[in-house]
Order: sequence, then structure tokens, then C-alpha cells
Amino acid sequence: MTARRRPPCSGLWETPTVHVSGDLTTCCLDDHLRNRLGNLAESTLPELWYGDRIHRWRMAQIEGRFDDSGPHCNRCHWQAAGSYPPDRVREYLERTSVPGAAGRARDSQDEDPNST
Amino acid sequence: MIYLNLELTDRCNLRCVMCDQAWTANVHDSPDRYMAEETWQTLLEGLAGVDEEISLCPHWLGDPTVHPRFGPMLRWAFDRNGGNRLFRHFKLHTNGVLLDRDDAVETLLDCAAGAEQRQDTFQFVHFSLDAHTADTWRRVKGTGGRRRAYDNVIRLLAERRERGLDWPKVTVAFVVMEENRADAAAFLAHWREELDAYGDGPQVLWDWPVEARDSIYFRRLNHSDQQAADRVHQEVLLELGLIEDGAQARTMDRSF
Repeated sequence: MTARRRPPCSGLWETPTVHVSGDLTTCCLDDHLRNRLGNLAESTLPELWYGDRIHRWRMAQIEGRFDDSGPHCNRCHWQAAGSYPPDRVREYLERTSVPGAAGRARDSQDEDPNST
Repeated sequence: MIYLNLELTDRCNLRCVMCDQAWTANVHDSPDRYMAEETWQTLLEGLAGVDEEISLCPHWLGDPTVHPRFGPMLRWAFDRNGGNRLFRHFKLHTNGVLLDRDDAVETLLDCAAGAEQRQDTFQFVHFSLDAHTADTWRRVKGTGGRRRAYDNVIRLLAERRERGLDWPKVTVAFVVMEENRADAAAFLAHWREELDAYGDGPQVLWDWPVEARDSIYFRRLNHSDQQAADRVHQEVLLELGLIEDGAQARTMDRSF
């Protein structure tokens, strides 16, 4: 059986998870809050969820640099949240106006899905 | 759509064999506690500034109904959600055991029936049951409560019908494991009958619920040995006749 290429994880876009203290992380698998983005008593959800740090993590996932994504992400088996689909990735890149990135992402998504 | 988990509490009234919360001391590296009402209100008011639609789930690792102010906090949220200004959807995950306290079922349905929001705002209540017999319940859930949980599902279904509400939908979930697989057929038969009696008839699922209907959900165990967990899941689906021999249980690329 061939290994499945790791896609970007939808958790980074879709599943903000807030600890009982108000600390915000990226998904419900991050029990230890390694991907803590901040506290919602001190910052708003838009400030943190559309902020620079998580944008860098999202870009790292899109470009396949998983070591540069959130500290929790490399400990995760990454299949629980599901993949973030290519059309949504392109939409994200267009929305965040990353020069040239939409093309790079398209090339990356077009790679052999069985390569690792 | 953003699927926002807001943890009302990281405490739980059960001790399920498959749950990190039950078996890890200080699972978030801090003592278990309840969210302060002020924090809840601040966080919810902050949602008004989010451009994307929000599906709100007041749950992460604990059971939200354990919070001593569960009912008032829920009512506060729905009272301020006129025009769906804070959240587009709401879903509750619970083991159901405590829903016979403090008129909790009435609170849920009052919230669902709110006139100033879209009708399908309170989308579903997901009951994590995972057992059919009392013995299996005790083995899997770590304590008693099976009858209370089962009765509370029926109370919600009956009262929903009584009020003529279409929402919330009800999901009865069963995480498939070696410890409970012997109960799977009886669980399916029981809840098929009940959900037929109180609603439009359930869908039977083995992947994340995708349709807005009452559901019986044979859920895959999330486990460090995922292949072994998937094998048991597949075998049980075959035994139940939900998939054909040789077929792979379909799992969604996108779970949420």
C-alpha cells in the first residue's frame, strides 16, 4: 500500500478551540495547548484567528513544511480533522494576497498523491 | 463556516475507557475547572466581530452539562443570538446522564425554539452512549448512569415532538471498540425503533454525521494504533450489515 501524501489540515482554518481559561488553540486534539495562539480575554477571536502567527502555520502546511507549522501539528496523526481541500486553499491564498503562492499551491496539489 | 469549540468545563461525570480526559490527570496541564460566566459572555460577545459563520459547540474534553450554571449560560447565549448575530449553528455533545437535572431538557428546547433566530440554529444534540447493556455501559463508561442517559434521550425526543419542533436533531453515538462490540446490534435495533417512533426515522452512519437528520452513529475510535481500531470498526460494520463484505468503510476526507 502506498502512503498518502499529507495534505494541509482543515483544523488550522476551521476548528478554533477554546480552553476553559479562554486560551485559544487550533484544534481539539491539542490537549496540552502547544498551539496556543493567545487568550480571548486579552485579544479578540478575529485578531488571533486571522493573525500573523496562524497565517504562517497555514502557509507552512500549504507548502508542505510541516516542521514549521504549529508545535502540536507534528505530534498529530493529522487525519482526525480531515484535509483542507485544494479549492479552499486557493481561495485562502487569493484572500490573503500572497504573491505567487496560489500558483505554487496549485502545483503542489497537482503532485502525485501517492508520493510522500 | 468555523466550528468553534468553547470548553465550558474540562470536568466529566463519567470515566470512559477511550477518553483522555478520564485517564490523564490534569489533562490540560492544569487543574480541572469550570469556565467563569464572565469569560463565557465575553467570548460570545466577541463572536459578533467574526466575518465567517460560526457553528458553536460548548465542549472540548469535559461534559458541558456538568457545569453548575449550564442552563443559565446556555440561555444567555441564545438570548443574545437574535438574528444569529453570534453563531449560525449550535451543537451539544453530552453523555446525557445529567439532562434530568435543573429542567435541562426544557432549557435545550426553549433555546432551540427561539423566535429571533433561524429555525435550524440548534442543530443537534450528540449523545455519546457507547453501550446498550448496563454491564457494558459500566465497563466502557466507568460508572453507572445508563438508564438515566437512555431515559433522557427519550425525554428530549418526546418533548421535541410534543412542542412540534424539527430541531435539534438527535444523534446517538457508539464508539466502536472491542469492549462494546457485542452490544452493537442491540444498540442499533433499539435506537432504530425509538427514533422511528419519535421522528422521521434515523440515518445510520459510520462516519461523521453529514445530514441534518436524527442519526445512529457507529463512530471510529481515534487511537494510537489506528489500524487496529479501524479493523474492529470495519468488522462491526460488516456484522451489522451496514457495509458489504470486502468493502472498505468509507471515511470522509473532511470530517467536520
